[in-house]
Amino acid sequence: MLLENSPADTSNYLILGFTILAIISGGYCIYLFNRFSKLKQQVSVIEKSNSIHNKDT
Amino acid sequence: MYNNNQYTKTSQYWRAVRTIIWKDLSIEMRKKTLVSALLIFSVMVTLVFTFALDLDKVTKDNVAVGVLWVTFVFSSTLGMNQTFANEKNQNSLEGMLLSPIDYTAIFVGKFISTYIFVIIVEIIVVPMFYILYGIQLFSPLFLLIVLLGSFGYTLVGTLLASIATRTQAREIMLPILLLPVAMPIIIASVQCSNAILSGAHWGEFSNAFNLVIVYDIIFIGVAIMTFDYLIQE
Amino acid sequence: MRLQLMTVSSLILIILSVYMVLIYAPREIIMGDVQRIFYYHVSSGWIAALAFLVTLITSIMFLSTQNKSYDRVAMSSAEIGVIFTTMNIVSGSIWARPVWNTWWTWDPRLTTATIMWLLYIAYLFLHAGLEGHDRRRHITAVYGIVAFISVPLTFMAIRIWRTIHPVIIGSADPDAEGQFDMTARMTVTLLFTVSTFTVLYFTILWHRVRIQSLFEYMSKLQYQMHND
Repeated sequence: MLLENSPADTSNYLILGFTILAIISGGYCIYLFNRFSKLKQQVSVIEKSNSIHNKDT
Repeated sequence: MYNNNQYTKTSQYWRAVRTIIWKDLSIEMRKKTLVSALLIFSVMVTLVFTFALDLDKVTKDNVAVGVLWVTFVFSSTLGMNQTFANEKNQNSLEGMLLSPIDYTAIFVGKFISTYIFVIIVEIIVVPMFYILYGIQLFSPLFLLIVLLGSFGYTLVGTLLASIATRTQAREIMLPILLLPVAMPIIIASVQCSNAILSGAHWGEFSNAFNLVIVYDIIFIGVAIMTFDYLIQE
Repeated sequence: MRLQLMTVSSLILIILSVYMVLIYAPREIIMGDVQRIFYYHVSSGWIAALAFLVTLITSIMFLSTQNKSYDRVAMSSAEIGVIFTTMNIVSGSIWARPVWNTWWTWDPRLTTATIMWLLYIAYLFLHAGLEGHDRRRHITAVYGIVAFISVPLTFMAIRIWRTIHPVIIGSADPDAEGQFDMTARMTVTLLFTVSTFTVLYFTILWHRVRIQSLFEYMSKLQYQMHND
């Protein structure tokens, strides 16, 4: 047996693991969501300026 | 007048290769920028490691081989970036592509000239390590593995440099592409060198040694098969 | 809309899987609670392999049909695969600390997993670094195909070489540390977590591909705007 502590102590590692997994997956989802909102905004800005530009020409 | 042999495909191929090697070497002999940069860089890396790892004799012996390979890897990467960067800067790549040569000749020429520079660096670095670390580096088997390992590393590096040079952040792209592909041969070379220098018998490092050879052979094949396609994009 | 349905189901499944992993699954005797990470560790590993397989297939399809949608899916799937591989490596490392007494070791399985991880990170850099001319996407597609070699290599690593990593499915390696036999409840939990991650993968893939299409549309608009 490799553990020096009694089995109950490893729950700390479990909590650490869950936290980090949540951060990685949650962080990625948040990143995707931010990217989506920013892109939507940029596209609407460009499309608006394009339609104005086209009206001028 | 001209006998037929002068224009056989093989002789044309090797003539193209020789021309490219000669071109790179003569540019280098005139400017001396690349080799001096590589030498200064590898000396710097070696000295930094010597200061940073100022340890007792036993630990020093243990890390020496690793430090040696780190020096080779960093210096070679620097050299390989230059290989295609110069072509890109001078736009001479298009010129080479337009001439009626087999494209793999470009790869072979580039690879050999890069490998020559790598060997020059190794010729300086290995004795330097002997002086600084005091380990007997002049065993023929060790030198062989140094040559074979850097052969494979230079091979994949030249191949990937042809892709990396097309990107925007080309100096950083080469190490990113190169590291995972080169990991097996670096690991195998270091393990092998370590085993050879600590006097292990053949059975202990035969696996690593075979891996280096197999890796070299596989990537010669890969390079020849894919370079045509890659360089045309 | 079907995507919203999938998103909601993924969230529900994740919550359920947390319950399964923490409460329903039994506690392993020797290793204790940290073993529960195993369910997410294995699931993220398999789903990463699935993601890279999707990259392989769509890269091949892109090269044969020239349809840009395949390239978008290939790149999105590779990105998600990298995320899952990161989760796999990190969860494995945390599990290893109490069981192997070290955060990391250059064992064959861990080494090949690292190579696989780095290869696909390089793929993402390459895809972003090459301008989107069609011919240059070919290079990325070829890379996406060749890089897949590392995936079965990583998975078979524990069966080819002697390794410290446990082999849960199949015969046990005598050198492995952290080996345990699965009970019925554990198997059920594992299957449930894998299914959850599969649904999650397809959901996120769909979202990511949408974002990529939107991004390429925006780039095209910007290009047109600058050329007027």
